[in-house]
Amino acid sequence: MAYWEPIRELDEQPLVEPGSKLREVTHDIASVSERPAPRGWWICFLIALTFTGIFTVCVAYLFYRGVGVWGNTSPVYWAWDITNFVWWVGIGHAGTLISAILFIFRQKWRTAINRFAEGMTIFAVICALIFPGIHVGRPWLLFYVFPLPNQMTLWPNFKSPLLWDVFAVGTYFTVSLLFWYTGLIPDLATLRDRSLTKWRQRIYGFFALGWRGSNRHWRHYERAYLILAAISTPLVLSVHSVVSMDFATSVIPGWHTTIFPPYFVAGAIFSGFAMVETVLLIARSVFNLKRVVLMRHLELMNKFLLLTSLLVGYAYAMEFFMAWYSGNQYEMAHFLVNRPTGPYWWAWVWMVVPNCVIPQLYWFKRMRTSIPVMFVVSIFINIGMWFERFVIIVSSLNRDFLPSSWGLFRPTIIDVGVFTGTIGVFFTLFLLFMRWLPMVSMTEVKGTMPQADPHYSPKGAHPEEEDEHDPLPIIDETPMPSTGGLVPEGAE
Amino acid sequence: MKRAPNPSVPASIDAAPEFARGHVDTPPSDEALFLSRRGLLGAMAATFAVVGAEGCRRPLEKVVPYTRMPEDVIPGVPSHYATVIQRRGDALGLVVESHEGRPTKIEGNETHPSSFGGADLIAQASILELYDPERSTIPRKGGVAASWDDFEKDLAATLATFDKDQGTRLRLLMPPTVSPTILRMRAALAQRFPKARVHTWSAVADSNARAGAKIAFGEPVNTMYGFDKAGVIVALDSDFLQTESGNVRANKLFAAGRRLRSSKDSMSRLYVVESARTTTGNAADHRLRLPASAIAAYAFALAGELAKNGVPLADVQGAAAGAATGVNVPAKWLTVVAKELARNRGRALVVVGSRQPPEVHALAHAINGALGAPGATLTYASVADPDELDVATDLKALSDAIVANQVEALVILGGNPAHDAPADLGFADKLGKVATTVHASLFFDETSQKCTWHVPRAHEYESWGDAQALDGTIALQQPLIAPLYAGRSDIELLAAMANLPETSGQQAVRATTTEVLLVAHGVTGCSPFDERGDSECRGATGGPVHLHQFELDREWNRSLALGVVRRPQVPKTPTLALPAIAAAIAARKVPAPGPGAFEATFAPCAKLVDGRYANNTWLQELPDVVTKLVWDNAAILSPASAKELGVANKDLVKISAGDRSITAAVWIVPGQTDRSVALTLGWGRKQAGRIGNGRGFDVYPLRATDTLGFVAGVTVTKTGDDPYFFAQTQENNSTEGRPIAHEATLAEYKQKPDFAELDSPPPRALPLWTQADYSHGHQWGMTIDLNACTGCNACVIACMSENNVPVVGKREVWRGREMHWIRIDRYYVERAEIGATAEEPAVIFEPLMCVHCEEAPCENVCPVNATTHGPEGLNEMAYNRCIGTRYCGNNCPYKVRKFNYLNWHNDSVWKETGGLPETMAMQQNPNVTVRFRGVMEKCTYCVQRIQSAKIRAKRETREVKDGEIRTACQQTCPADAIVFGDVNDVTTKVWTSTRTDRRFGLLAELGTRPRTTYLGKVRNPNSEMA
Amino acid sequence: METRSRKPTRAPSIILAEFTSSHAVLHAAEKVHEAGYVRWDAHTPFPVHGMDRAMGLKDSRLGWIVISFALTGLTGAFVMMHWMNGIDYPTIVGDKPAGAPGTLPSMVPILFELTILLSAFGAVLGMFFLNRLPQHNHAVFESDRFRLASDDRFFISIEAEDPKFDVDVTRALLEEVHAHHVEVIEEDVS
Repeated sequence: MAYWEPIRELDEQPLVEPGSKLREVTHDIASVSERPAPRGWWICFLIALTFTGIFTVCVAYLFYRGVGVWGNTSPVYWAWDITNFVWWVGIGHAGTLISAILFIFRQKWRTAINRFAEGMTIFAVICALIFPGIHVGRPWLLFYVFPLPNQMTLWPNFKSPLLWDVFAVGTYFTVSLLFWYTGLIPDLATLRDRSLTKWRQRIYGFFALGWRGSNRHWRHYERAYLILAAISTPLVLSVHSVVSMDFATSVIPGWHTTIFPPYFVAGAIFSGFAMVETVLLIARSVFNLKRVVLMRHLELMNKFLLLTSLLVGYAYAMEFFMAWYSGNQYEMAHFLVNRPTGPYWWAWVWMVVPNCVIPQLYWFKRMRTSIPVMFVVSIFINIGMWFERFVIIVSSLNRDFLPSSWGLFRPTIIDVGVFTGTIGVFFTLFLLFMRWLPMVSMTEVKGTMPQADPHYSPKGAHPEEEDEHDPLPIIDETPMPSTGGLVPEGAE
Repeated sequence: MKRAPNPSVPASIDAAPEFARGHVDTPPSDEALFLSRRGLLGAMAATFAVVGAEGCRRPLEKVVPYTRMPEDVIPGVPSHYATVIQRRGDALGLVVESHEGRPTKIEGNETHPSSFGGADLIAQASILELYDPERSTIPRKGGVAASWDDFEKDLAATLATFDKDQGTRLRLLMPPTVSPTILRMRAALAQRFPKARVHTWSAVADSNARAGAKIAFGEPVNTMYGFDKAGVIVALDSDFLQTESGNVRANKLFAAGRRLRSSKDSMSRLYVVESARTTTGNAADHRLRLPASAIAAYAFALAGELAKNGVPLADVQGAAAGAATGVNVPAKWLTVVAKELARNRGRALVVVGSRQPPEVHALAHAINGALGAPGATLTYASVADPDELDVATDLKALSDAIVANQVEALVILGGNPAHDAPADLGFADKLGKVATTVHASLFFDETSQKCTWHVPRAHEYESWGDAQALDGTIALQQPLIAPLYAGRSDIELLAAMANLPETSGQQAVRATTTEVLLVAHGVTGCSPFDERGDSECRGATGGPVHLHQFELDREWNRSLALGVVRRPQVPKTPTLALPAIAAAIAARKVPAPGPGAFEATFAPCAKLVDGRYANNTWLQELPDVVTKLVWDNAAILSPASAKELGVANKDLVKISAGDRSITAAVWIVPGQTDRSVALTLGWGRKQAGRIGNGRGFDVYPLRATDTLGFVAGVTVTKTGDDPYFFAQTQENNSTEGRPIAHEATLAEYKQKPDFAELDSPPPRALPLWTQADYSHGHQWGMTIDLNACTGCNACVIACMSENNVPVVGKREVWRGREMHWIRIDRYYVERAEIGATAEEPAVIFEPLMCVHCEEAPCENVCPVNATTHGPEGLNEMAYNRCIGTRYCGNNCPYKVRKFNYLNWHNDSVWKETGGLPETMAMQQNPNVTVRFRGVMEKCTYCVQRIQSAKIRAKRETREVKDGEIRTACQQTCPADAIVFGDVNDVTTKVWTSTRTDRRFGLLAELGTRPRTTYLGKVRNPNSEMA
Repeated sequence: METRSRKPTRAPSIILAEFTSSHAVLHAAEKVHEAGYVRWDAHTPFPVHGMDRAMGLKDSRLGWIVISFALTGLTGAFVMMHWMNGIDYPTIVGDKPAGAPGTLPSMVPILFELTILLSAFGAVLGMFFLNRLPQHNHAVFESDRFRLASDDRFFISIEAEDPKFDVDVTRALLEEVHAHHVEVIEEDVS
């Protein structure tokens, strides 16, 4: 079976519209950053920027007065801050998952979305990392969590799950960044080579590291990419497991649960895919990418969402069962009474319905393949997963062992501002990425096209002829400086 | 902060030689130590005043340190001084801790009979009142700032005009006093102005009790209840554990009478009949809710029942039977209670609350007499001021005199009549009718506004004085700091008015004390001391007695040092006049009830008393004993009454008695009497200061001269306005059936002594790892006896004052951010065995601070090692390491960790004034870090006290003695519920206590191995009542 | 690489052949390899299947670098945690042991994460090292057409340093393998 042919076992369909040329792919993707930005982009960007502004103001006020400007209280010492953190980290999971695991399983359809997903990972993790940073009482001493020598000659407590978090999320961010950048190098070279202005050329050129598509390079490059994928796979699974240990290793009913690591990972992938879909749908319509992002991809993602939704639902059910089965009165009081009927019952409903009920629509192909439906559903899942974290954190804390210490959490306007603000930050970064970087991996897409196969030859026409009538569209006549070098000829 | 006035420098320096003389002829006794130390202290004062060290305000006169003061005062080593403060009808002996001249902490004085080393929440909080930045700082004439000279001239001139008519048109108004010196001053004033009258008024007084005693014995006497000796106590509308006079002493003795060392011990049984839940009612074994207006009738009925049980009350019985009309109580509450009282002759006690009418008090005296209580379970003592009249009638007399235009000058020393006088007098307006009115007070308050002159009054910790306790003991009040705001004490003002030579408070008090001592020793007719300090007097037998100045010096110094004047006490044995009592009962007239279906009861606030402490942040933020409300009072209703009125919590209701009415927000309390709305005095101040203004609801407008205690027949109607905003520190009242606050009846306890442990046993599992070795050295631990704890809240304030715990304000408490290191959990209990139902639940209190788990969940999760375990078993916080992730707080199953969400000291109640006032910073304990925003904090077992004790022991090359280290909460606890010490040492109290069978570890089943453990509560219900 | 001199003389430095399809470049590569060239390379917009074989390249040695990084991460993490909490400043935390072996369970997450972290750096830095990247100036960049190497064209470059390099012979070889366009790039040599 030829390399480019669809894998019938997976009943695949061609990933790129049959008959598209390599150059068309290059052009579709690369020209996004060369053409002036469409109006749609500007609208989105300005909205996102506004929220980034709100975020900045709220955080400034937070630093000025202290975390008291949030609604956090006793016993609910953690509330929206950590909810948002876990939510964002979860979203950050799809990226590396798609790039790594699907890469290892040779799921070629990933090529359409992996760049997106990776970018999303980076930005989501940035948003996530904001919260541990600003939620502490004395942010200016945050460096105490790192094993650095200090005037107290005291070291961090490596028994603390919170410290595991620091390492896990830190590692995850770094590795995702490396992974993303490694994947970008050849495409950056493409942009460098297509660039018409000196500045574009210099900037892209700088980051392209002088990549020249050399096969001796491809050899190591492919190996490096494979290894990164291989180590990222367990990493993805570990990160949210570690995050879940913040809760699982504690003594609080609702937190002290052994099911958390797999449960959190499933939830993370669930929310991550939902967010990828949301963003992908926007980009697909804003930048008309229907040629590379096919309905086929979206449908596959929806199937994946259905699967993870079932996993998450199983976890919810299991929590209930274990609470009852354990016979522990504190567990039962929490899971069987406080969550469904307590002061935050509505949050519980918001968790169950969007995460377990709504995705069941995807049993039907018509739903799986309807753009409006999947957009709405993906939004619902994003909301539902936020509430899952809210329920786990707030409704577990607000009623623990001693009824005398029970108390309610009531969010403040700053809570809202910071949360919506991070969404602004996320989209600001994302829109910049879509505008200035190839949002689909040109190299990989080309690699999956029939022309990529050395044994392919288009019947009828002889290869040499096809481009005689096809002058290089993007090269004007003016002689260009040596494209690889950052210093043009004669500069010295 | 203001510096000590210059005069203090010479005053302090020339102090030294005077002492030197005393020193010379002193034989080397332990008094000699006092003397030499006094000299030293004087010299120190001088040096401090000269260098003007920050926070150093030495009193002008020499005060003598209590207990062993170091030979050379080292800055940082606090010294302790004995003093006393006046309490309604009583005096509370205190010991004040002072750091370089800054009094910082109040403790009880062990040698004082009203304290026995304990103190209550008001005494603890009074130190903050001293430093209140909103105290009045200058005299004012018509509200305009003036100088003391102006005032003196003005006053002298005014008084001079009265000399000719002997002061007929001069009146003096002050609260009832127990200070011998003030009484002496008043006598002296009476010599200058024989026709001038002194009126006494206080919104909260013991007039009824005095009147009752007058009926029963023909003279007013104080009754000293021996709650420890009583086997059966019947309290009629009496909150003797919290708001009545002598509450600290009562608490001590009551706890002693119920202490259980093992299941073989016995304990007293308390019956309480009351209308609103009180600390005493919460401690009851049997509680009957009855309208306050019906309690008298119950008492009369009980008297009749007693007679049936062979307790002869002679003709009182008949009168009582006649008066016992419309008694509607469960029959058992008469038959069984009477039987039990009769059965416990000589071990029984009947106590009546101060707001019940005099006849009831008189009846109680009769019953106690018949039960053989005098000498056995109670003793009598003479009152400080036999001439004191009923405050209501006395104030009425004054206001009538004003109306009759007989008053030209009125001098008001303390008190706040314009705010708290009975509403029917309209006293505030009448003040305007007097030509010259002078008000000396700590604050420029409602009364000061209405007076022509206001002068700042010196605080009790700033001035000399003395006070006579309930049992007659006289204690001396030493100034611990020079007046912060140039205030003057009542004594000084009276001395000035009476033209007495002794202008300084010290001279006045010393003169009184000398007189008291001489009288006590029967020495009379002394010749003036010659230059060698000798004097000739006549002794008790009439023979000549040689008296040397030094003997008086020694006695004076000893009295200052101990805090009490030692003199032989003559036990008082007044004789009952049963016919008089009968007559009084027969002649009693009950004010006609209004048309309304409800009754309103007025009780002094356990925190603000009559409103005098309204500007005290600690007290404002202290959760109410019953409702756990902060920064407010409320109209307390029973669930049934609330349903009847169709109101819920926070709804506003209009309460009107006749043409007077108030509006207050409702709070529903199970156990409140139906159709009785409980109101607490002292709230809704208009001129209390930034903190106190407009907090809660002013109920004085409902209070008339004849209804100071309660008013029957008021109407309560829902206003329909938006609900009020309340803040509570505990929002859930039930244990939800969780095994967290263990209790049993005495019978159950005797059957199953380890009932508490059995309910929540610690896990029986082998540890997975090698555990830390806590078997060596000191291992600190604590036990709290739930059986002794009455939930009086003294420990909460003691802890705030010792550990610089910040106040966060009403809204932040509502958010749940209160910072109290101790919280007293209050759970309502429904148990058939003790007759506790949903409508009338019993109450169990569980004080909870950090329990210092050996396997502390908080430590595991701190990423920066900011909270770790010390080798002595303390769970320690490194504040400067803490970055505030708050993970420890989440993981604490007890939720005793408190987080500084904001910079509370500056960013909460004092925000508008730009942060915590400097004067209030003076109160803070220099040995305890003041926590900044973003830091987690919690109970430390007063680690600073542990360390200083260890240092002291090391310096003296000895082991730390048991009881040498007392945590702030333990030291102040009037019930001795808290025991702290070395659990590693079998000789300590706490070791014994941890071996008590009632002991249990809170949430021990989690395997946290708490160092603070509890002793289960035991109730003593009467099976016949069931 | 080459340094430019003050008074330059031009000389061919590399010869560049352009192809329009992957099979053409693969075929050409085989021929060049047979011809026994060593200092030469193929440039493709994406990795072309079988090119390594065609060029006779051995397997990448990157794996070894990554393994060594991974082991460093693992041991480094253990030493850090044990020394900091167990030896340098032990504290009683939740009544649990301060150092290994007691703390091993709690070390697992960080041991794992640091292993992964360093492996990732190993992979990327190792790849840069083996590929001598970044390298911003290279003779092939002198060609304008070469800019299509990252688009849809395929190139073979043979360097002048190659022992068998001879402008005409080499050019002939490349043309006979149906190079779409052949270009000699000259550079200044001193």
